[in-house]
Amino acid sequence: MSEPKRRAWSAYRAGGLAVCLFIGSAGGPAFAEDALQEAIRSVADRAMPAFVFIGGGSGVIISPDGEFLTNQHVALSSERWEVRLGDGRVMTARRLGADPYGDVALLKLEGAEGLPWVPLGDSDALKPGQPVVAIGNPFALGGVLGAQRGDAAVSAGVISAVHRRQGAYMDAIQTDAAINPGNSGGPLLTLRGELAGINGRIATRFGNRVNSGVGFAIPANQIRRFLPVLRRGGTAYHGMIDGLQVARQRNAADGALVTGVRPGSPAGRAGFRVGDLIVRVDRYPTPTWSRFEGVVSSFPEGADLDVVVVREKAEARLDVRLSRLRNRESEIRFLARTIPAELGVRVDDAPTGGVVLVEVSEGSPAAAAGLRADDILVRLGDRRVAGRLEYFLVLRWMRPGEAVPAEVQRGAETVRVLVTPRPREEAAEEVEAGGETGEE
Amino acid sequence: MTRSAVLAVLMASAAPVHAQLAADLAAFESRIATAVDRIAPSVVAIAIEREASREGGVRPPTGLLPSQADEWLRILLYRLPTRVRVSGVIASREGHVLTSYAPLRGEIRRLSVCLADGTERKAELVGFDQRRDLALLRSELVDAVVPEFAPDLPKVGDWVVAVGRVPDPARPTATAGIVSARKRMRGAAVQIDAELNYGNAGGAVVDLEGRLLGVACNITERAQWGQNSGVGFAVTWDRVEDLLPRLKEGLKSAVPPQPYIGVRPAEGALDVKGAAIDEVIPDGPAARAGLRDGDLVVRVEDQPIRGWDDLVRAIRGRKVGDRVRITVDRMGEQKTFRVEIGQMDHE
Repeated sequence: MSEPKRRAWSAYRAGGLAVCLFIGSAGGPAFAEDALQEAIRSVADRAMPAFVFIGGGSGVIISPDGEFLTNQHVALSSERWEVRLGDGRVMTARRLGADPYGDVALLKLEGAEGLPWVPLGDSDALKPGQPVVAIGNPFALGGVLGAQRGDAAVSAGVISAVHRRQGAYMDAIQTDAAINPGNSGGPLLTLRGELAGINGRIATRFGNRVNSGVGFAIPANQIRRFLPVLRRGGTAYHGMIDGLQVARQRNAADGALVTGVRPGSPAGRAGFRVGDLIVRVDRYPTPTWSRFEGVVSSFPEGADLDVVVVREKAEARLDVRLSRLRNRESEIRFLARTIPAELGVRVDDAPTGGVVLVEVSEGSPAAAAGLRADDILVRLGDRRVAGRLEYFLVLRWMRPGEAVPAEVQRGAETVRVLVTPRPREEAAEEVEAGGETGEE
Repeated sequence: MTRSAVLAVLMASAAPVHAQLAADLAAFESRIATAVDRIAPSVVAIAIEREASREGGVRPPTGLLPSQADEWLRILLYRLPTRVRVSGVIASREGHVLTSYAPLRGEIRRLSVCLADGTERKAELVGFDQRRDLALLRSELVDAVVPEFAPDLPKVGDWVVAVGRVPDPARPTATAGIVSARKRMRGAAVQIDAELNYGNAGGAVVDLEGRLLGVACNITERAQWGQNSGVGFAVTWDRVEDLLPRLKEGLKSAVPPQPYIGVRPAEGALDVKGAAIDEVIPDGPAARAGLRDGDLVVRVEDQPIRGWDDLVRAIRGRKVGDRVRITVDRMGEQKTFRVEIGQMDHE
């Protein structure tokens, strides 16, 4: 890049931030960028005491009695945690509830009161280009409980996009604020100091797990909908409209076209008909099937939603109660497309748990490892495989070329092998299209 | 309302705001440009020719090739002689140039300072401090321009501009960001989110007035944060000021090899008995031995590991190159790996 171009780019990136702040800065510092700097500082100053160093990641306190949010993938391995707060205090926390599919966990600091906390903002009001601040413990540079304890890190950027669907992040906020391994579970904040979302994923390339300017956060509004369930304890489930089928091969962006309604199902009882064009769910427009599914699954099971469909050129409103989201075909297919490695098998859910190898391609990594059709894969790497979703979730972590142990049931026999995944064909195209994404 | 009427209303309401925004943006742009202009005469490129070594080698992207081929390619690259360019900041009118020490490790064949007019001047290594990742070179420079230091130390949230001279010594590069955290690298550096690439190593990090806040450092291909991650470091000017006289006198302070196995902890998990690993650093000793994210270290040789502190002590108590048996609990199964203890090349 030439010198003037680089300068222009830097100024643009920074200046883009300044735009949004200008209006509030009248009478303040002489330069808009100084006002923005003040705003970033003040957000960081206020949020820092509410920051939580937990395990290999981050968290943020959302109530004065010590409830805090993090990613489920951060808090997965233990019910109880010793954590450090942004102000240096070390406390014990207990997991209240978890949303494994949405990758959110709610924990509670024991014996806490009067703590600094961050209010949940309205993530539906976020606009691309809006400045945001991320706080986290990237690469554990601030330490956790060991001898070298430092501060959390602040990075600034803008909202790159909203309502992104990224695997199980069904309504993700995309940001270019630097988010790296260790930022997981930390807050993404607006310049008002409100929680926009919980940082959870980064798009990476070639297995290089560092920021690429594409980070994803779980939006505050989705989290707010799950909070009552999380507070009650146990596991939260996402919602779906059971018995409803929408067209997936459709380019028009005017709605989600209903192609099937199972009679007697919740969808049937709600009054959906084949040919309905679903244009809105709750307050969210649904121009595509993907966005439709994203919106619906950003609500918990049991939620009552009103859905607007266009039917014979008129709008009709339908009320529907969401059922528990199952591992749907589309989700699995979506996931499968984002994985850089493959074993060269076609899998299906095994009724007894695990996945059955429907087909093992000749010369594939699975074949080379001695796996056969009809084997039931129950363990891959260090994880139990309960079904196709878990299979792909596990495979997502595998690096092509690195051998991993696999365990299959072959009749009454248990067979353990080492299998070496190969790079998935067309993976390069996927990278161009949006990159692999991984939790960090 | 007609379309033109709508447009007229919009323009009427938006125009003053837009004009003010444009003015603000132009002011910000010119402020960054001026900052770059001010520091640019004090930033040079440095060419390093070095014997190939594991330290100096270029790390190819991982995961593209089967692991064996990956390793061969890596070995091949390590053996090739390497020539890299990084940046430097002029430190005296006598031709002293500050840069990052990391790219200078290993056996150096030739060092030179590359000037904006395309000429190269031979340089020599005068002194270094590995812990603060600073090195001082000296070269025959005419009209060397010493930068102005910032009046205050950088604070979290401050704007910063990183200025380097790579790939083209004739043109400075600029990336903007903010100060992310203070007191990194044992208090010697600040963390910034401006994107830093390898060529930025040793370059200037300045405020919006073009005054030196620090020297970009700790950018290596082997650092886990890697390039461009939005996690970068600059040794602050106060440390530079402290060290400069000693570096000029020839201080050569190397850090004793720090044993490490390349794992990032998940500390504080109270329901697990052992040292839980959040992430195994790709390409590190533990990764090469077969440890994985999520493993729980329960024993090193015959010594039980109850928590992260135990593991740190067990590793630090050994020497680089030692082989140790590390036993992990992986989903209820115990597995033992032989890990060759490596050397940490950053803190």
